[in-house]
Amino acid sequence: MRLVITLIKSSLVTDHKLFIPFVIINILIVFVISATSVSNALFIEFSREPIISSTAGEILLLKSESKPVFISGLDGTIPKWSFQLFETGEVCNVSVDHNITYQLVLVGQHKIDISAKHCLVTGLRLTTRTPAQDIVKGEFQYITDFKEWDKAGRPVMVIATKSYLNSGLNIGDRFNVFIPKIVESGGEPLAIGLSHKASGIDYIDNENGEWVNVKISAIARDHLEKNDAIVVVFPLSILQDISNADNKVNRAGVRMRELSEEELLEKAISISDSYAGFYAIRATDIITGMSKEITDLEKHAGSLLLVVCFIGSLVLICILVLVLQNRNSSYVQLMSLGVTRFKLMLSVAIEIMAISFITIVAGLIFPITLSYIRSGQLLSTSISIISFFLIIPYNIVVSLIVSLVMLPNRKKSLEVLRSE
Amino acid sequence: MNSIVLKISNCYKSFCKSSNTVEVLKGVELTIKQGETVMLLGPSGSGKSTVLHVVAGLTPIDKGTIEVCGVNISECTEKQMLRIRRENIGFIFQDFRLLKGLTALENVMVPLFTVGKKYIEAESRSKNLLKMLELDHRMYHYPKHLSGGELQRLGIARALANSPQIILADEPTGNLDQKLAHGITKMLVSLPNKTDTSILMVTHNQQLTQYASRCVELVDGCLKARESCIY
Ligand SMILES: Nc1ncnc2c1ncn2[C@@H]1O[C@H](COP(=O)(O)OP(=O)(O)OP(=O)(O)O)[C@@H](O)[C@H]1O
Ligand SMILES: [Mg+2]
Repeated sequence: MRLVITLIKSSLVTDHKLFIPFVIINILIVFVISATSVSNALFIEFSREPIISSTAGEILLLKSESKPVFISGLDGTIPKWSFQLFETGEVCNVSVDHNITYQLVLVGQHKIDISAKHCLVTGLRLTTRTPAQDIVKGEFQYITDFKEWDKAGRPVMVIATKSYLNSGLNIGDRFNVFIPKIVESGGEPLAIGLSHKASGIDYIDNENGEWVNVKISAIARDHLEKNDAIVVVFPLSILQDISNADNKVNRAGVRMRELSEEELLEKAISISDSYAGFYAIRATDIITGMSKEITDLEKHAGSLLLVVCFIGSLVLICILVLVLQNRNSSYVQLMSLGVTRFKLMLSVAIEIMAISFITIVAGLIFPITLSYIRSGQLLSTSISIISFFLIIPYNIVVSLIVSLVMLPNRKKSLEVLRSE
Repeated sequence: MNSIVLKISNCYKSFCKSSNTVEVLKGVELTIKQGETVMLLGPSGSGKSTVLHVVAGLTPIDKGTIEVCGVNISECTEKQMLRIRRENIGFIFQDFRLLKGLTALENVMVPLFTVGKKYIEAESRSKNLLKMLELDHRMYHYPKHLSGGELQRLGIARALANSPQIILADEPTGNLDQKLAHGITKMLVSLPNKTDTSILMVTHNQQLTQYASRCVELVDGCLKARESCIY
């Protein structure tokens, strides 16, 4: 062992510079992967998980021409079906024993006088079973009477992404929001996705509507950081009033906490099947659909690590070939002193092991620290810390193979001795 | 008492490079007894280095036998050969060939580690050797900081580390000036336990033959005794 240690010392003193590229690449590889993993993990922990858990057990009822689908586009994941209005009570018999949260979601060309890339206006009827919002500041003043609402200064809740919240939204701020009118089509082509003429279907008329001055009474956080949107939440009856929707809504959330996610899915399917024009979908499915890319990334992280390992090992092979070529004369010299090939290989393998270990630790330190500070735990979910250290045995095998080929043998050794 | 350390009999060695074959050794006969210092002379390219290489088992021979301390090395496995090299042979190179990444002391310790000596043991033995070769003030220096004469003395110290029965020295003074060459050779032949150690030394330097107990010359692939040089 002493011999091997001495050999490693000798090699490192003479060749440490040759290993610099290997060290840098190893550190970078580990750093990039672990940093990605940390940011993913943080996203999942701080964003996706809370929404999923807050919406778990909820089925959304929608009325639609066709089955709701979600597509991923440049603007993130968007629902690809048209919202249609239906009377509250039309679906009450779905589950009379549950509190139903009705929602009126106006998807259209909204205007808002505070800057917003996307804006969505929603009317919400709060019940005891309404999924809780992640309210950051203030309180959602749920007032159902227009006059009282007006008297209270027209309070609304604003749901925004973190970057919006940071850009200076405050409780008490006032702004104007344009609320389109809801009109019955009367057989005209509809602007909102239904391409054919249809009568008896309400649609959103973006040409007619009114500007409403509102006051922020609550600010909630939207965890889907990807779509930098702002949602203005009105008490349902108020929005119905302003938009002419009367008693209509286009979404009903049914909370069924006591059902498992599987039972919930079955329930959703059976509702979809038994009510013509109504579709039921698990709320969590919408969320996971929206964070699909991240879920995918998570899935591919393992294979990404493999690819990167492969690139790392190519670099390692190149460097090892150079290093061992360079050391050939030292090795022949050692062999003439009676050092075995096995000991030489062992010293190379240990050297590579030590370098790999140090570089992996160096690459991990920063992401792990970051992760620890943010979430109180080391790297999590998709890639475990252990998997990085799997690079070490891999590198050792690579270095053993390379040294097996490169180390001078009995035939070659004399040539090496002579060529100097 | 004077046992035979090296016995080369009827040794043939040729090198084949593409189509032409170079016959270097054609029936070399040499016997070295314990404690003898034999100088190997001969024109350049006559095969002097080859003799040392075949003795050290660095290259196999075509015909004949070589016995080192009674072991026929052509019948040895690689492992046995390494063992003979570790325990019985000390090799000194013309161009020193020390490990650049190790200090003088560590360089001498390497062969001791190869035979499984403990650190403390190896250290004290190496220190003694370095002291004997007047290198004690250079123990912790790296080879690049040593002079030619110091490097060669270090090479000798390393070759002596495991108290080999035979030292093979390939022009150990070839890179040194006359005065140093004499000094180093004198040192070699007057080692403390010289009576146990034989030396086979290749040299071009006629003047150094005065230190030898015997001289042989490699001519035409055969060894001939050189009576004239016996001192
Ligand atoms: N590995 C080899 N392959 C081909 N030819 C070789 C090999 N080793 C030695 N030779 C040839 O054998 C001959 C003897 O070489 P060797 O090195 O033993 O000579 P030498 O007597 O030591 O010469 P010098 O005094 O110049 O060192 C040379 O002609 C050389 O070309
Ligand atoms: Mg030579």
